[in-house]
Amino acid sequence: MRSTPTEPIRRSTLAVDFESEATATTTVIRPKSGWPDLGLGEAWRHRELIWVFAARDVRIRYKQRAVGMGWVVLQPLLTMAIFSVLFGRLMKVPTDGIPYPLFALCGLVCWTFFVHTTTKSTITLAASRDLLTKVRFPRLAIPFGALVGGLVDLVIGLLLLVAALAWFGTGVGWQILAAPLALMLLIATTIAASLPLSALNVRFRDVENALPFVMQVMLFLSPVAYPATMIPDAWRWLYAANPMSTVISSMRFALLGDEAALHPSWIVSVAVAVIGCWAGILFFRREEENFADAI
Amino acid sequence: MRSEDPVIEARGLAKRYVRDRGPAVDSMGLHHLIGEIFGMPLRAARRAWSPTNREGAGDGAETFWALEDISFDLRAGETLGVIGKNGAGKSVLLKILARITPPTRGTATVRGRIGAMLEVSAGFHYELTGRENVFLSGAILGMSQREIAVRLDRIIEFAEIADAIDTPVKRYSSGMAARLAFSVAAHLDAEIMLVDEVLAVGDAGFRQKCLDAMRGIARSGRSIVFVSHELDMLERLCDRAILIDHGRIRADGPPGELLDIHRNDLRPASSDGSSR
Repeated sequence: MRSTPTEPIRRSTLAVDFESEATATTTVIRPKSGWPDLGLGEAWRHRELIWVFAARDVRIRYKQRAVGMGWVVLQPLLTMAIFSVLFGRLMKVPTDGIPYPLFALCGLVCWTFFVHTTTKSTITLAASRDLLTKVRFPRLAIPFGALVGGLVDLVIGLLLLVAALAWFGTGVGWQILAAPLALMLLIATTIAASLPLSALNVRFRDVENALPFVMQVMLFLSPVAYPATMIPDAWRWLYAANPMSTVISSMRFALLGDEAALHPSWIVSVAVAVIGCWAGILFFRREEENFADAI
Repeated sequence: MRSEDPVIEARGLAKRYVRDRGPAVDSMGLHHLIGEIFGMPLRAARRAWSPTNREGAGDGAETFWALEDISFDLRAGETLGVIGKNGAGKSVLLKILARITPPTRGTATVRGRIGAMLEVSAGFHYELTGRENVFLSGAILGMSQREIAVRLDRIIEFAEIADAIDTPVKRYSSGMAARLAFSVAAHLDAEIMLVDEVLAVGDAGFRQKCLDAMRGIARSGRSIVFVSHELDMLERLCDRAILIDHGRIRADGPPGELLDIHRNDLRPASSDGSSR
């Protein structure tokens, strides 16, 4: 560039050291056409930004809150208590022989992560108008940031679950090896739901209005308060089209040894989650070029 | 990369938007209003899914070209002022160069990293402290956390808010927040800086400091594309200018001459009065 050794560089008042040769890159800006790639490489290069977004969300959650961290623990615990009284005591829902509070908490921890992350991602993206219209950064960092922020809560929830297991004196067996697989399916399902919904919400803010209702329906279609074994066998395959059913059932198998929960229809859930994850990222990537204009 | 290659080569950049025709609700009768509301999802879907910025698409909808045909070269170390009335297409041009929105037609070849200062406080969150916001905003603008840590002291010093750096930004005056936001963005390490109307922060003293900072960036061999309605500032900073009118370049040359043309345009007789 202009600064050659014979021409001494005058220090700017900002005193930023500047080495142009080391970072010379050429970019061609042109109209977008066709389907984009998944952009996961770009997202990975900006993983620090994902982390920064996650840290922002976690920090903000504890600013100017009296109970702060306690909400993450209180919410599943209180829901567990209500479910235990309503479904466990009064309605006597069968639980494959597992104490009802444990049974419910296991489902609630997975379910809470799914709902909170999807909702957070959907609302945050459309609320980031200034960022989307004024700053260039990988858009995937916003939903992935919400996901990582949600993982913090998930870990706390799982610790709560471990404490509950100890409280009830339930030990875990070799089945615990299935837990990482169940968690991977949970994350894939969450990505499959949150990315397309977030992108769609930029165009149609109806998505965030409809989301609480849709999630309510999904809660009934997932074995959170009741066991999947209550579903007639012939319907299990259709039931498994909601991957959260397999997530919760396999977590119950992994942590509570609930073998009855397993069903060969898990393959449907995995297929839906993996294809949904892939299609969801592609859809988001296709939509993101229009975010600045559509929001 | 040859040193004589321009850092930006813009060729026929154009951008089309679909004009949103919101119904004039207050001037309609109730039955019209109900029809509008129930017809809304259909029309919204039709409008939203017609890709607005692809060539040959969006037929039938009312469209307009925010940019029609912009071509220019920016050489390394050059400070280019972009002038024009409100709505002439200046900001759209910067958004295309910053890759915030794609062009409908045309290309731009960019050699080097682009740092955009379009709205410096966009990444700020008022609940976080000044220090936390420096790291957040810096990361969004494209700096690594390490780079920010290295520059933190200079960023704080430049913004003149050392005492308040661990106070939540919501307790700042708007001037303090703007100074900090500007300071973060000004420490971006990019070969090409796009600057849109962000020097108008703080008091006269700080504005002079911003101007000096921009001059420092220009002197360090970096290139700047600068949009401002503050014509005096623009004249002092830039060594070349382009005048944009209705999405096209009307004149390209020394800032002094172009500013005369522009000031002439802004006289009440020929102006719509919307420009400063």
